[in-house]
Formats: sequence, structure tokens, C-alpha cells
Amino acid sequence: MKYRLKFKKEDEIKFIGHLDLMRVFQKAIRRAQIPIAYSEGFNPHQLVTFPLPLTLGATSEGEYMELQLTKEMNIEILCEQLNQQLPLGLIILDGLPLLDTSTKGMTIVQGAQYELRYPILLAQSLNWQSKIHEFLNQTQIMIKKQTKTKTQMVNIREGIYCMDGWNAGQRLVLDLFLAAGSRQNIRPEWVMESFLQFCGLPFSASQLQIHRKDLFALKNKEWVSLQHFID
Amino acid sequence: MNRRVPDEILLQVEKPGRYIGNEINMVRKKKEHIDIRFAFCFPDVYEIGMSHLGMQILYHFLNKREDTYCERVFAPWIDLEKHMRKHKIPLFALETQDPIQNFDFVGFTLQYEMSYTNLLNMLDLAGIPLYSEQRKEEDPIICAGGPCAYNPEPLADFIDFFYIGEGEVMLNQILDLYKKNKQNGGTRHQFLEKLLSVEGVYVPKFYKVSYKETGEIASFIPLHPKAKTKITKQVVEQFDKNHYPSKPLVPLLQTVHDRVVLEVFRGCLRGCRFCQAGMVYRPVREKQVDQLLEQADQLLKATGHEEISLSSLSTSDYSEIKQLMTALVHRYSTKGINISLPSMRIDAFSLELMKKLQDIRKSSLTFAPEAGTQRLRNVINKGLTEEDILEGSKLAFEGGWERVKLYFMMGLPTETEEDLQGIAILGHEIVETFYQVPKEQRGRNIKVVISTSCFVPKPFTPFQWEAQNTYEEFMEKQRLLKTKITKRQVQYQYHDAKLSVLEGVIARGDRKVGQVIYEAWKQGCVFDGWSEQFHYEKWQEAFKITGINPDFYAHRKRNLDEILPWDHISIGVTKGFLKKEYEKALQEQTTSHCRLQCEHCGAMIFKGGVCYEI
Repeated sequence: MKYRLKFKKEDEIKFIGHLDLMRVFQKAIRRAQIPIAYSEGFNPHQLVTFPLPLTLGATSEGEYMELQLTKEMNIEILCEQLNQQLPLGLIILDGLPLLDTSTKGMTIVQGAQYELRYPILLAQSLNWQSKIHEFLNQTQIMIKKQTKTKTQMVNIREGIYCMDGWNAGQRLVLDLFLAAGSRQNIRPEWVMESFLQFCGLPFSASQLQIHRKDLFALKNKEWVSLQHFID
Repeated sequence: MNRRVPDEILLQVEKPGRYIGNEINMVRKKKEHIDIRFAFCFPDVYEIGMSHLGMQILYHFLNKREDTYCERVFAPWIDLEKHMRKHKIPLFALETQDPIQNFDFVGFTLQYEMSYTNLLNMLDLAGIPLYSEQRKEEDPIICAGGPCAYNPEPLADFIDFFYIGEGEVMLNQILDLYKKNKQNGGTRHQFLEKLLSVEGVYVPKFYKVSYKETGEIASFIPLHPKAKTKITKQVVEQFDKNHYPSKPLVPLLQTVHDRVVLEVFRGCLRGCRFCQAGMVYRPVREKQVDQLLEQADQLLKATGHEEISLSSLSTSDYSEIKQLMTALVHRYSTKGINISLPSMRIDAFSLELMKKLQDIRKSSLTFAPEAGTQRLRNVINKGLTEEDILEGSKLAFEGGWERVKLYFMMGLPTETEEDLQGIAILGHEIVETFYQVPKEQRGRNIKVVISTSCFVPKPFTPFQWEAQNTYEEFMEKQRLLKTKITKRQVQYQYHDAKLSVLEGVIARGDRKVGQVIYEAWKQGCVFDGWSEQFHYEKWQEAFKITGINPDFYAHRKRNLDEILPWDHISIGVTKGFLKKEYEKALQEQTTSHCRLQCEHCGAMIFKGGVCYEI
């Protein structure tokens, strides 16, 4: 029995990284006495997967996890039982029963929507709409991608599907729809950094607020939220 | 939530989850209903402090009181400390994120000597004067307990009062006294005076130490009519009825021990002569199997942990270990719960258990012979023979194991070159034992890892009068052992002895040593137990500035009639017993364990445990 749950990650819990978050859920699942299935072997682990890890420090209202249970459960009861055991800031919003044959979320996810906020002095404020237009009109947007062993230059232009921006108080807000998943994954901070650079403004990663709104998969060339996606 | 450290800073430090609280089973209280705010401080990082059972016990013990809110504080890692100092963020408690400067109590647990600079640093970050005598009425009362409090003297100038022994016994009485004193408008001096009538409490300012020209203590005199000449440690006598937290905190971050801990018993029967824990936690007091199984069940449910471990000083000595382990394996091994085997003696029973629980190819056997020859093992009263080790290894090799770890100490009293050579010989014999097992029964490759640590003589052990080896002696011994290990299957692990020598100075230090700790902190020392943060040259500078000679504390053999800095503390076990044990050690005579024969160590003054088993 497979289920996909949608959850929210906000408040202090945003400072818990992905690996620790998985452990937080594992323990909550045990406390909630949910009939979770385990893998075989000497160190059996719970059959729980997450389609797309969220970077430490980011909040989200569109996170997902997929569970395999040993028996069927009413989806509301499942969400309710788990919610009672979650720490402050983690809330299950919705659930969807999947088919045994369903492809894993981490394979199907291809897009993610983000809202980014970055403090901007009034004096630095620009006509964001036209700047975004110019920014997107470039044939390539190169960023430095750092892995453990090397730095490489990557063109992220293709992966920016939609981009909008406006002022909110002393902040620049960017609404982004970006390529996500195993084929191409555009990190939202790359877009903010290269956009600010394009505008001639400074960037410091610790000032950036990242909020993920949802994850999407493609069905018949249309974007569908994972909340409703079954294949 | 009024978080103390803003996002922008938390996003720049390693593991920000250390500073946010909000863990599962965290206690939440309304501050308006609280009379006593207690900051329980662990002078090391979050992941270490949160793995400490004593903190879990006392946190929930104190929070059982409706009038008290006990919150946790850990040492911020150096990255956050820099930001805190720059932005003037005071040290805060995790639960409410309030600065601890305004709390009633700030209590430290002293787990190892090399955390003392962290203690000073935490007081400083909190904005609390470091020296007791500089504190004002509005400052919190600073207290400390834990194993290192058995020699409180190096911290005597910084701590308002020490609690000697197990916190569950007298903490309630102390808090009651505090509340009453506060209600009556009493001063901190008056409160500390009142504490003089509480058993197990040591208030350093009511004692005066004077020294001989040689540096030894000339006298240790109470300055107040109520100040006791001996402060007796407090132990829970009815241990099976003792409070144990049923809903322990479950961290959101991975900690050192991410598991349920069942406390099986306190104390140790064995009486190894180098071991402070074996003396200060006497007498052995056990819980019942039924009680433990019930607690296991409840703790697993309340935490959601997937691993359970037993805690004690020597788990194989639990009188019903077979029943307990069999029941735990029966109940949990099929439920996705990993049972971690604590330091158990390797024999047919434990090997059988391990086969059920672990992947043999990946696990290793651990022995702690501590010394290389039977002679030296007799000196230290370590009742593990070469035969035990080789027999246990043989059984294990027949069962498929192929990795063995051996732990030894260097610099033990009476140690000779032959004893060091004995370490290598034992390693080689284990390799030979492996090859004596028929090929079809044994694994493919044998690997033996020998690890040595440097012996630090500790207070309240029979070796408390002994001289510690010098740095040069330790390093020479390591070099020698390295040349004696010739088989390629044997690997040797050792580490620099500087930290051990410093630990030796502080462990048996007197009040004067406090100046060195203070000076080292001023030089920038923190997290000395973390090798990458340890700066020996700063400590050397601190010794130079204070004019204190480390050799006097570490490398000097004491006379048996010398006044020791911790002589005003009583652990039940008498000085006479320790002297007798010391003499027997030098004569290479062993002493049997508590259940075989009572040696009248003195722990019988506590009304419970093994001393009263029939």
C-alpha cells in the first residue's frame, strides 16, 4: 500500500536539514504506530522516500513524502495520527493513495515553484519587470556550480520556466518556476544570485529567504501538482 | 517564538539545529507560573550533551516540580560564538530562548576536566561574572555536579556550590530552601549559608585552604560553624523505586547516541584500581528485569527510536543479564528495533546474542585488557585473563568474526618494558588463534586493532597518590610498542599525550589550578577536548603567567599522609580502603568483586544495593 503525503515545513524546523528531517519522520511514524513497511536485511529501514530534498533554511508549503505500509489505512486517519507526533513547524496537509505500480515521486518530479525574498534598499530598487525581461532574454545564464571535488560552469537559462518579481516593503520578491528533479535541477539561490548580479546588486546567501510552494510532474505536457498526480 | 539568534546568523553556522530547541518531549511551561528558573548547562556541544543520560534524568526530574522550569544550555560552537560576541547576543536557554543571566540557577554538569574552559566561556557569554566573589544579588546561583565534582577544588573559585553525588536525592530540598529564602527576601549569602545544613553540598567560600612552602596543602579549615568537615556524597538507596524519565527528549538533529537508553544499574562490582567511576558510584544498585522491560516498552513508544541500548559500568555483571537480553531480543529483534550490545564480556552467550543481532562480517569484538601482562593486570585488579581473551577470540573466529579491537592503558604504576611488549604479544597471539581455526570455519582476513590511551591517576582511586608518566615517557612508550608490533594484521592506534598530561594536572588539582584554567581561557582556550581546537602552547603560556608548575600536580608521587585537595569529600569508600588497595596493587595481589566477597570498602554506609544482598 503506497501513499503520498503533502506537508508543510516552517518555523524553526527549517534549520533541520534533509537527512535529519528523514530521521524526525521515521521516529514520528514509529510513535504514531503507523504500519510502515521495512526493507529486508540486517539493518532494515522504513520504506519512506522524499521526492526532492529541501535545502536547510528554506520553508515550504509543498513538500512530499511517500510511504509504503503493510496494510491499508484511511488517508485522513493516517494524516491525523502522524500530525499528532510531528514537531512544531511540520504539518501534513493532504494525502493521496498511490497504485502499487506508481512511479516514485523522485522519478516523476520535474518542476518546482518558489517564492524568494531578498532585502533591497529603496535606493537600489529597479523596475523589476523589465529587468527580468532583459535577464530572461539572454541566451545563456552561466553560474558556478560547486561539487565536493570541482567547480563547473552551468547554463541555467533553459531551466527557468517562469519568473516574476516585485517589491514588498524593503524586499525584492521573486516568483520562480524552475526545472527540478534528477534530470535538471535549478537551485533557486542560483537564480537570485545571477539576477542580482545582472542588476549590479550585491548578494549574500544568508540574507535570502527561500520558500517552496509546490512540486510538479508533467502529464500530457501539462504541469500537475504532486498532490494530485497519479500515474 | 522569540528566537534568540536571527535567521541571517543561523544560516551562516554549522548545524543551526543545535540552537532552536523544540525537540520531541521538550517541556513547555508558562513562565508566569514559575518561581525557579533553572538553566541546566552542559559545557560541550549539543550533540554530545543530548546523548548524556544524566541530563535527561535531571531535566525531567526538576521539571516534575510545578514551581520550577528547567531548561537546557549547551556550549555554542566557535562559529556561533563569534557572531554572539559581535552582535552582543547573550547565552540563552533552548526552551524559552531567554538569556540565562536572569535565571535563578545556572547548573553545570562536569563530565570531563577538559570542558572547564567551556564552563568559564559559557558564564562569560551569559554576562555572569566568572568568580563567585564578584557576583551580585541579581546574578544566578552557579552550581555544579557530576563525576568531576568529586574533586571540586580546581573550580572552587568559580562555583557557588557543588553537589556531590546523585542529584535526585537532595535537589528538591535545595530548591525548597532557595524558594523560601527568596520569599523571605534573603540574600545569596544567606542562601549559601543555609545550604551548609544540606547533605552532599559543598560551598567553597566557607573553607580556607593554606599551603606549605612545598606547595602541598597545610590545612583545610571550615570558616563557618555550620560548614561540615566532611561532605558525603548522596546516593539513591532505593534505586528500583527511583524516578526515570518515561518521555525523554528526542533531538531533531542526529546526536552521538541516537537511541533509547535503559539504565540497568548504578555502580560497579569490579574495583579496577585505575577507575574512578568504579569507586565513586558504589554501591552497585540494580533494577529488576520486569521493570526494565516495562521501561523499554514505554521508552520506545514515547521516542520512536529504532535502537535500544543498556547503560551501566559493566553490563555483564547485571545479575539477570541472560533473562534481560533474551527477553529484549525476543521482543524487539523482529520489530525493526536494533539492540545495541554494550560492553559485554565475550563468551558463548554474548556471541550467540551478537550472531542474532549483527552482521558478523561488519562487527568487531572488543576486549579491554588494559594491561599487557597478567602481572600488571593483577596490579590494576583487572580480572580479565589472557585465557579469557584467547578463548573468547577462538569462539568468535569459529563463528565467523574477523575483527578484534583491544584497549590498553600506558603508564600504569609499576609498568615495565615487558608489560608493553606483552601488549604486542597478545595482539600476535590473537592472530595466531585465528589461523588455528580450520579454514572452512573462519573468515578470510583477521584484523586486530590495538589502541592505547595514557593513564591519568584520578582522585578516589587506589592510584591517587601515584605519579603520572611524563609526556616524554608516554611518547617513548608508544614508540617502543610500535617497534614490537611486527605482524601486518595488527594495527596500532595511539594519540598525542599532551591532553592526557593536562587532564592529569586538573584531575588532581587544588584551588590554585583554577588560576591556570582561567588564564588558559583568557588565552582563548575552549573545546580543549576537541583535538583540532586544543592549543597546548596556550596552556603552557597559562602555566608560565600564573607561575604554577604542572609537574607538581601530574608527575609527583604523593605521600600517603599528605592532605589531598579532595580530602573533605567522602564517597563512602574510605581512604583506608584505598590505601590498602594501593599496597595490594604494589604487591600484585588482586581483590575479589563485591558479590564474591565484601572487602569492607565503606560503601555500606549507604543503606542499599549489593552491600545488603543476601
